Amino acid sequence: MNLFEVSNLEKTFTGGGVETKVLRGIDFSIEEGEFVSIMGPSGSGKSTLLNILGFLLDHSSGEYKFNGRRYEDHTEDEIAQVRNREMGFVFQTFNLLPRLSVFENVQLPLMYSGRPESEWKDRVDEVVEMVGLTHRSDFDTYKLSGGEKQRVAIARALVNGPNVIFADEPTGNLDTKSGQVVMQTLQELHDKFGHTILLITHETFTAEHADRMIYIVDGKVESDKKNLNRRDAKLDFRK
Amino acid sequence: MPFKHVLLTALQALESHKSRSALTILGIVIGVAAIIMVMSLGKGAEAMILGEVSGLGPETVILRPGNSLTDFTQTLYSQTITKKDIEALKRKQNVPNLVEIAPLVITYESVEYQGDLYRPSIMGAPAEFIANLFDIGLSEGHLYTDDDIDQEARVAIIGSEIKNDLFGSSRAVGKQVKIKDKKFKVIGVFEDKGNVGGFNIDTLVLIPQTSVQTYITGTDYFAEVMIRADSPENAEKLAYDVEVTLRDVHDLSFHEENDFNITTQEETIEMIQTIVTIFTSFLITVVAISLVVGGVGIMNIMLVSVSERTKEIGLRKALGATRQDILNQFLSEAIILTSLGGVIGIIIGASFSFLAALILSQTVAEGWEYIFPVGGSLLGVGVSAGVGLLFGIYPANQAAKKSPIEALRYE
Repeated sequence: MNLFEVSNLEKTFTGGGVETKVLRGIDFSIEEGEFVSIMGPSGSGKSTLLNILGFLLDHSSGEYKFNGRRYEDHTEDEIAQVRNREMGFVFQTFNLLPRLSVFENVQLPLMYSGRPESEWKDRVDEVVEMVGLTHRSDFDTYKLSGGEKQRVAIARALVNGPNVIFADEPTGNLDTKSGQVVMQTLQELHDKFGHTILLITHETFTAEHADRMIYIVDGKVESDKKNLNRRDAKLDFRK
Repeated sequence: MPFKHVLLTALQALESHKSRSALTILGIVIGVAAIIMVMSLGKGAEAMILGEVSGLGPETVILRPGNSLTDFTQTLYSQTITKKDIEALKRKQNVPNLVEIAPLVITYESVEYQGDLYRPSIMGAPAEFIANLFDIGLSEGHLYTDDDIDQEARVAIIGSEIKNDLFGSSRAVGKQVKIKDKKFKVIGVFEDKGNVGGFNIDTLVLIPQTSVQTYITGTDYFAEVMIRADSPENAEKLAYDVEVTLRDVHDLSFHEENDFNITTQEETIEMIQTIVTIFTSFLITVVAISLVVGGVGIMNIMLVSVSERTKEIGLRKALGATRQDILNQFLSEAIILTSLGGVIGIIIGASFSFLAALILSQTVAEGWEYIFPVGGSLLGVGVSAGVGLLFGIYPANQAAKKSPIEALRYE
């Protein structure tokens, strides 16, 4: 089943009397369980596309269906709920709350989930362990290294058991090694746990860790193909 | 988001800006402290005034000439209560609950001793009644008796200030003073007492009322009659009996108004309470303005805080926070801030008014008691929380309205 269905999607930003067309008719669909990278030079509109797909931004025209339901058919609270329960976000700049501990940061989405509080702790412990940070659980996040911060962000994205994880340049602020650990984590989430992953990057090297690569230039899909030579982050690591 | 976590989140945010939070609530602290002080001192003043008034005792009823309770000149110049009225009131069948009746004459006249003059208030009244009523003793001499009153004896008891002024340190008892060229013998001197029930005892000359009427005023009118009932519960009934008796004696037909007025202590107490309430309400209104100013300060800082935390708001929204969640978070920050300000204000206000009460009771107002305004404190916390709610809504709404992605991009 298609998790994402996008047809003739357009997005125009208006600011200071100037209209900027960022997306000019995007078509594709992504099935549940795929690992897709969306690539493109900066200014190509890939981040805007991700924000629209992630219910963080509305589109100007065309159609976007998530899980078979049109974006505009959701109420504001439903949009918040979809972001909370079905999507997980990993940002380039981590976006952790620095004064909160690892545990508290990961717990944030649970607080908005409506799930009973009694389940929270086990759930947080579980995902913190998955990203290998159990020993850092009580640390304030500003004390962590960049790689660790991004793994906290991944744990946070996972904590509500979402369908899909959006990763927007997740390795952009990391050194090569930390970046590889993050990529390895994403691959594991896909391979072992069947998460759908949408990865945005401008580096071909990073994009090649996905099974499918969509290349966007000037707000249009330039190519959309299977990646037959998927890089294995574990092997990257050994080099 | 569960309420507990809304609160915890708000507390965490406030804690991370301790000194700013403290400065923000200063306006509220001062406002509430001022309200508590006004209320506490107002209650203290009320208690003190009531204490003095009810020195008369709740069983005492006051009868004055003139039909207006408030127009004092009318009371002074009305001449409607005479010896005849007193005699009618003394009859058991007219006013069965009466145990004591003290008609008073008040006038102003010079007192002369060896060429020195003093202008005191002169009160004509039964000595024992007055001494009991105001709870005053004598520093020398003795009181005059009912026989002295019947015989219109020319005797006087003088206040301590008059004694010092006219006699200095020498003994006053036994000396003759002249009032309106009539000689009166000083038979007693009151101890220092100051103001009691509206009279300054220290500058008072007490003379049998009959003597005052005969030798000084030359009339048989009374300025005031104090009547004591057999019990406080019967004061109202006594007042009614007095009214019926006097209307009968004065031969008033049913459509004529009373030409006298009767005050029970209960009425006086109510009147004083009304005055004090009006006065403190006025002050509280003035002080409440500072709470509004404090509220604007809170709003201002909240707006700064919202714009500083744009990114955090964006993140929370991206993670699934609804508008309501964000609104609740910022509103609770505002309410926690102002309520905290309210509590601190109450503590400070209570401490300062305690101090003020202590100083007052040691200096000008002996017997002033500290009163903690319980109702006022509850009101203070309620009002300050309300201020937080009112002035927090706008910033919180600004926060809730932010679009997640623009907020996330905000640097």
